[in-house]
Amino acid sequence: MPSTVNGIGTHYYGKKNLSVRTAPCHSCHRVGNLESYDTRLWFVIVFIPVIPLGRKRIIDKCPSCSRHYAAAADAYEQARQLQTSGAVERFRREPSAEAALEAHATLLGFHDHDQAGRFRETALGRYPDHAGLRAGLAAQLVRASEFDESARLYEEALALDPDLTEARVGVARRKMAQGELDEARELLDFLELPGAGGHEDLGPIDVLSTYYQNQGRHEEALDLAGHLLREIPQAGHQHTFRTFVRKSEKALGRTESILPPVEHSLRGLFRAEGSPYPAWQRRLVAGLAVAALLAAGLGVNNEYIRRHRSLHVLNATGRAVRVQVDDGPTESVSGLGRLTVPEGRHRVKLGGAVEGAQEVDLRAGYFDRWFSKPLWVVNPGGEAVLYESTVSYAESPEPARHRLIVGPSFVAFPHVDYPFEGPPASIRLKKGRAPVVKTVVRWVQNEDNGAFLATLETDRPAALTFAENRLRRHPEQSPLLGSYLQATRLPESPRVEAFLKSGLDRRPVVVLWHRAYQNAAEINGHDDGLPGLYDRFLASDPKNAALLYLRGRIDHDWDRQESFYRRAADADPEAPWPWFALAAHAESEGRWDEARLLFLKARERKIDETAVRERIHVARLATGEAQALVKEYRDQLRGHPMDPETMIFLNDALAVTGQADAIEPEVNGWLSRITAEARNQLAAPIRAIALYQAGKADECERFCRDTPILQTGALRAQALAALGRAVETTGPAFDGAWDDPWTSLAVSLDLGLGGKPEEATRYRDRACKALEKLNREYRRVAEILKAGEPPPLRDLERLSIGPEHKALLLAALGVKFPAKRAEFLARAAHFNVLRKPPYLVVRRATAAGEGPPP
Amino acid sequence: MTRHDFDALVRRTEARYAGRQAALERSTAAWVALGLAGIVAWLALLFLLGVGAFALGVVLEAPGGVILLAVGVPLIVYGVSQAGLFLLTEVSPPEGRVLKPGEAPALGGLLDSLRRELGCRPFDEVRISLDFNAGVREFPRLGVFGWPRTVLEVGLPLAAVLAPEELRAVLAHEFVHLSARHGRGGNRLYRLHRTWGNLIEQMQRPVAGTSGRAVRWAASRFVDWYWPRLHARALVLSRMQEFQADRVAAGLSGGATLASALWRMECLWPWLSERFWADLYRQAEQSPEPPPDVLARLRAALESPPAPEDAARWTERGLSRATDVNDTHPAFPARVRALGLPPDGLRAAGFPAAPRPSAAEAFLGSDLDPIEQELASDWRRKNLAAWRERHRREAADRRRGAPEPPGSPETVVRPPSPAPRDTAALWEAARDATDLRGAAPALPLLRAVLSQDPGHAGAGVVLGHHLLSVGDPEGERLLLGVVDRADEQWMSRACDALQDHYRATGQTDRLHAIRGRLDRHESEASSARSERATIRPQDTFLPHGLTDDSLSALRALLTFQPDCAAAWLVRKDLRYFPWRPLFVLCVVGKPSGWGLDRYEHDRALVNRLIPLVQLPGQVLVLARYGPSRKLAKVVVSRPGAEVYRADCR
Repeated sequence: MPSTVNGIGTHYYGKKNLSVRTAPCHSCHRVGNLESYDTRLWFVIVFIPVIPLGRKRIIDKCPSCSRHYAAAADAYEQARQLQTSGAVERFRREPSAEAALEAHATLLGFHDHDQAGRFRETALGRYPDHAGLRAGLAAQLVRASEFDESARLYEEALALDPDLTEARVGVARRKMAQGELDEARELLDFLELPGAGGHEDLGPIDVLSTYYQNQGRHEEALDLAGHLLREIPQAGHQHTFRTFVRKSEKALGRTESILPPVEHSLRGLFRAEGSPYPAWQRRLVAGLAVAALLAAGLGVNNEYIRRHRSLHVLNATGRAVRVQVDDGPTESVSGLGRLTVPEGRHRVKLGGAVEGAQEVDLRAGYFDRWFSKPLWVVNPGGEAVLYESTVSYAESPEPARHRLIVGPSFVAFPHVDYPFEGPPASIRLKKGRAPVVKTVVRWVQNEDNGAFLATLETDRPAALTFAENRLRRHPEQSPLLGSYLQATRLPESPRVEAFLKSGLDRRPVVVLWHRAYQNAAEINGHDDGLPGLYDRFLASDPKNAALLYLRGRIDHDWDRQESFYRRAADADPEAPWPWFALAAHAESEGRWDEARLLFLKARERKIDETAVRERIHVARLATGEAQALVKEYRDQLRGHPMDPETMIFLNDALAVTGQADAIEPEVNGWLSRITAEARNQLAAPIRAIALYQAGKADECERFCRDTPILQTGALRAQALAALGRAVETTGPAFDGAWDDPWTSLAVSLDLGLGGKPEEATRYRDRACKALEKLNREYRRVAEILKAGEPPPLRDLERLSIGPEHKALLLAALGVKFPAKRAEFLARAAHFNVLRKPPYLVVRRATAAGEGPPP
Repeated sequence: MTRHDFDALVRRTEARYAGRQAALERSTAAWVALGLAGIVAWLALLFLLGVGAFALGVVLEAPGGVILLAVGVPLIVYGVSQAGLFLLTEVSPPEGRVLKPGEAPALGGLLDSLRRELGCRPFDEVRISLDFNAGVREFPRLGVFGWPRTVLEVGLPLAAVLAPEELRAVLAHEFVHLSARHGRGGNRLYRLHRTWGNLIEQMQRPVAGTSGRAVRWAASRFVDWYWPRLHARALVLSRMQEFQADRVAAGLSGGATLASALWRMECLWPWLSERFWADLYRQAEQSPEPPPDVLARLRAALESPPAPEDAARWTERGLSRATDVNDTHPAFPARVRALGLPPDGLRAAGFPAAPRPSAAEAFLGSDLDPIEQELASDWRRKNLAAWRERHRREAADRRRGAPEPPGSPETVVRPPSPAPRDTAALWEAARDATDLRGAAPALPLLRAVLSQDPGHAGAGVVLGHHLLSVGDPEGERLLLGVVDRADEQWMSRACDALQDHYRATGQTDRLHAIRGRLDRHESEASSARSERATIRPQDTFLPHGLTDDSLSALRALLTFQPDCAAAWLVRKDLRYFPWRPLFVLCVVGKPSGWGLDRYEHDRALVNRLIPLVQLPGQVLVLARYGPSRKLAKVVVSRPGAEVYRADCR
């Protein structure tokens, strides 16, 4: 049938050669005027015929359901004419009742009811007494749904030959329909004879018995059913027949049935016709089979899932780990491995890179096995970093939730959509559907430092343990080591020292590690034995440049240090640390040209950039390269805008070259180029420090005061000190700022300059107290600050502290010891290169030094 | 495959496997397996997909696993239902009366002794039936899984005509079938036949879609190719197995005894069908009730020898019969020759007389009467309706004024005289008489039809068939006449009758010739149907070839169509059955009004003419202008085609 969608498709147009007859539809069985006509099939767009698809003959189109037959009109017309003319001609040539029936059937077959009617009259006129012909024509008319005409012919046939079985059956059917059942039964008596089923169709008896039953005449119905059962014994096993018989037997109250016992048949389950089982039973069996198989399949599937859980092993150690679950085979895992284990409690034994055992519990609910995707991860040594996040798919996605998992050696996630794989960039959602949130778990690799820093805030013990584990595994990770050392607090220094000590024997020597250890030992007051320890190391490896450097580093004598450094540089001219140490010596003594050259040499030898970058910056500023630095830093910021340190360096260089006014626009431009997230975090401190670097201490102080996170910080204290208002920091609000001894010293300097010696002393003492908790060099600073006599300038110059601190120290001592004031302040001005705090307060002191002492 | 090709295939198979029965059994089993393979492949595909999806569904996690299970399970259940539908075939139940324990101890003893001598297992059931035959059937207890129950069916009429030692030889023959498991192969074939039957039954249903039609086409092509090849092997194998059973039975009972049994069966089979049962059913003309003692009547009839000419004809046919390619059993002469006995030796013995005692009397003993009564009663019950119907038709015929019912076979129905009736009426009467009483009483009517129309195919076939059955050679001439005229309606029946005759008389060359002729006819009929199905402009058209007299009716008809301007008539050049012409009549209406809608005008004229035009053949009437204008143009351009023009009158 033609069909259209939104007006596009196929459609019939036109109706010619129409003929109508009243008959039941072959599809919906409703009686109506069935139309047959010629038409044309079109391809239509918006119901406008566009392409003709051929002429069609529509046959018996139902007015109710529109179902019909369709044939190619021309071919149908040819076939109709040729076949009907052939059949009619055959009848004319060899007239007989059979030929008449054949021709009549051909005409009806082509729905040529008018010509069939005319032909029928001709044939009946030729054979007026032929009962068989009338019965045959009547049977054909029944098939063509012309019931009135067929009934008339059957009656005539019966009148001509009362024994003609076809006529008797035809008339009997009519009488059944009219409710005259006894008359019908009388006509069908020949079908009730024994053996009739062998050569006659007993269908009419079957129909008659149904009519009897419908009229409530169950005796007659059962009588006929009994006959059917005798003639066709297999009918007794058919469900429909049994139902029919039972109904009548029940109506009559019979206790004994004429039906044979049920004979079950396997094939009967698979066929509809003649089945001993009703349709609902067959469907039930099929349904049960499907349900049982499905249930069994789902059960097996659930059990299979339960027995075949994936236990992921995330080995971040860099070496293979042997994993044994319970008493199972040992498997070697490098990187991400997957073991198949059943759910339940298991003991996971680890060997190789990590030794130990882990109790794990893999458990999921019965239905969760289908609807959830749990993830279990064994993390040997807790060294792998897991990152769990959510991804929201929606027009306006929700913010993602993140969780960094650092430290635990076993993690169980109840549901993860994308384990160790990236989620798709987009998924197709149905309109109006709620946002879809997926869970992702990733293995974060080569981000130990970031993971450590991120975890430090939330789980400090886990972070420290993680860092120690990772540093043991990869001691060369200088950023992590640096972060670790920075993160550890003084009370934790014994732990740090112990941790670092455990790695001293590792070769090749990791200089950073040893430096950190030496620092920790100094802080903990365990540095007395260090020279002996390193002498022993050198005894076994006297040409080791790193050991020579490290040995020199812990020597208390400046010249011997220099000697060790020189030997180290000679032992391995490519080792960066000896050059760095020599540069540091030059820097300490303010020999900027030499320091610059030596630091650059260390950088060439791949020393950690963070160790030398600021020092080279200072040396180059001090040696008049500020203008060149401005250009370099601007270039660097164009390539890597997310580097605040460069921005600060640029401000230094701008300030040194007298372009302080350019600092603010430079900072604004930089802030506009970085990400919003970074801008939110950095804008305030960078602006504040830039104002300080530009020499605008008052604006810096106001800015800090108006910015909550800076209100009571060290920068504001420095700005107040630069403005000579350090006294404003004496309240408890600034208690947090005094952890940094140099802030206290800067405040002390300002107070001293401001003529408040007692206050200055109090803050100097506070600075000393803080310094005494640090390493040997800082303790020496504290001693110098507390000493009653001014130290020789040479001693001050040979202190290994940063130039800005040295400038502050010199300024403080210059204020404290008026006798050395000019000398110390002049030297302080030499070291006061960097424009960050305490530059301004030192400059104020040095400026004041040019006048009379306060 | 044509009959000729099938005959050649059977001959090739016979030659190839001559003396190699085991090889043929293997080959047949392989072909049976191939027949099942197509269906099994379909089922295997369903199961493979279903089980594969199920297995994957079991091991995969949700949702993939659950989806695969949801796909796999219905596929498996559908596969099971298809297997049940196609492979679980139902065997028709055995007929006859089951021999109860303790009944007919002599027959039991005979079967036991045969079983011991042949060293085979006993039959699970013995049934006495009304067939003129003995046979072994196997009924699988477990369907496709086998474990057959074997049933021996012994026909009481057969036992009544055989001597005890002859029945013993026949039963020995059946035991050989049992011991050699010949029934197993037969059962396999039967099940295969039912399986394909189930499939073809499914294919009878209307199908929609290209894929469904393609599957149906492929299946029917496969059946066309496969079935004759399997059937040829099965037939040859069946005959080999019969020879094998004969050899072993002859060794046990003696070749002469077995040959004697076969001879009795060969001679008494036509006696039973042509004489005993025919005479018995003829009694329905007078009595509304079938006789209650059919088997007693059989025994009584056996006492009277047949007429000498009948006996001679039946014995001659028995000795001449040739084995047909479609026979599952070899013909009697071939079986006897295979036993090393000359068939002609039996000619001297003539038509066999009734044995005394008969095997039925000897082996059923005192149980014969009750068994006989039960079987007779059963026969009577089953045949009551048919008997009554026959009786009723006879009475109706009498009421319609037909000649008195014949009191004997010699009574004939004569054509009414002296007024001559038309051929059609005579033929109707002849057919009615033949249907009711057989051809013999209708002979005068049939001859009257042929005298009026010597080429009347129907009368020629009916009369020829009857004459052949009574040994009159005129029957062959009449039937060959029908074959020569290649009458579409009667050709097949004429050829069948001739085939029966040539087979019975051992005329194998003529048998092959007539089968080849029937092949050709069917091929031509099929081609003719295609040729006559359509008419296209590319076809060749001939002058109509009708005389003016023949055309006058058409011209008169056209004259009475006031809107008909002209008409052209041609005949399609037909390759097959050109004596049945196919005409194309093209008409054009007179122009009216502004000439608009001319086609509608012409179509109305065509529709009016279609039922009225009467020409000696098929006719296609078409309008000069309309959808068939290209064809009409060709017709009109044919010289001499114009048969009518209104303005020329």
